[in-house]
Amino acid sequence: MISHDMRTFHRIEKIEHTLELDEKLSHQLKGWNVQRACSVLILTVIVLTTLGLFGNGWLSRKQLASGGATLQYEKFLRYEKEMTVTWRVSGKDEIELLIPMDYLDAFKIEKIIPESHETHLADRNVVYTFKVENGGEATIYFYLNPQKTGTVVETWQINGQDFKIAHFIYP
Amino acid sequence: MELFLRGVAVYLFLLALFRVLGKRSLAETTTFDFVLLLIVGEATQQALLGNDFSVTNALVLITVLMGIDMVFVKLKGRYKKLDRLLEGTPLILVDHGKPLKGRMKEARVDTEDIMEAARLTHGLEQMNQIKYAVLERDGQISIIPLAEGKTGE
Repeated sequence: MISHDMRTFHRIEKIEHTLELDEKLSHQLKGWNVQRACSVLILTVIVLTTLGLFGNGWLSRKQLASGGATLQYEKFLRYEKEMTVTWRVSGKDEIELLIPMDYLDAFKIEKIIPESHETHLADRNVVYTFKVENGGEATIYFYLNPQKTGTVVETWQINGQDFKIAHFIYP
Repeated sequence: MELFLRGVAVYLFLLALFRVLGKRSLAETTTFDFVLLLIVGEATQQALLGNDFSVTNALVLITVLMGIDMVFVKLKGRYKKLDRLLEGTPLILVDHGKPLKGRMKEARVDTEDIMEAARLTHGLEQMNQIKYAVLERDGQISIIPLAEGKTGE
């Protein structure tokens, strides 16, 4: 960086002029260096955005599987930008899903597909019960809208099995 | 409060971005730049207003933005360093008909840009008719022609 600065400094022509203006070449030099650094930063942000640092991408997608249930969600969210939490459960006639109220403080539930058979409250959790005919594979979608910014880490429970969900919500 | 923070964040971000992109990015409005500015405007609108499309929200936001601008103008007037940081300093690009290539490369200005400014402002035909070409703080190129009958190098 220093040698680059020196090269730039030597490349810049020094002139004597009669104009009443203050060029401040040292200031210009600093400005160009900042511009170069920021160009790299801009390109890095573009690449990271493509990879999903701000949601919807490889870096953001998260999948957890345990005990016949699979959970899919996005780690990186944006304020008031709807996201989907997907559950796939197989071999159960009844699915009981617990969502902590603390988690729901940060999200507005826009829609649940399919609608639950029953909903009730139990010890600072909302409990959704879904019926599955013949115990086949069931897919449940939660469409959630982030209402807060920052980190949200909570544990959902499905048929007694814990799944830790962690999000970072950008402003 | 949220509205104020939105306004400040977007204002400062755009200020920093356009400052970093260089003076010329705002001065030369080619078709591409025009499209770019339109898209930036559209993208900014959502970030500024959120989901509140009330007249009050818009009016408060405009007031906040004007207020920030007013504060910056005051501060720039008082602190010379801040003024230089935000607005930059002018840069001589041509000295007595000689293009200063090192400076032009860093400032991302080419000979065509300078000749265009020379034609538009003074009807000059040749580089050697220019005494000084200066990249001004607003990104425009100002031309000082050599006296009648004189030519540069």
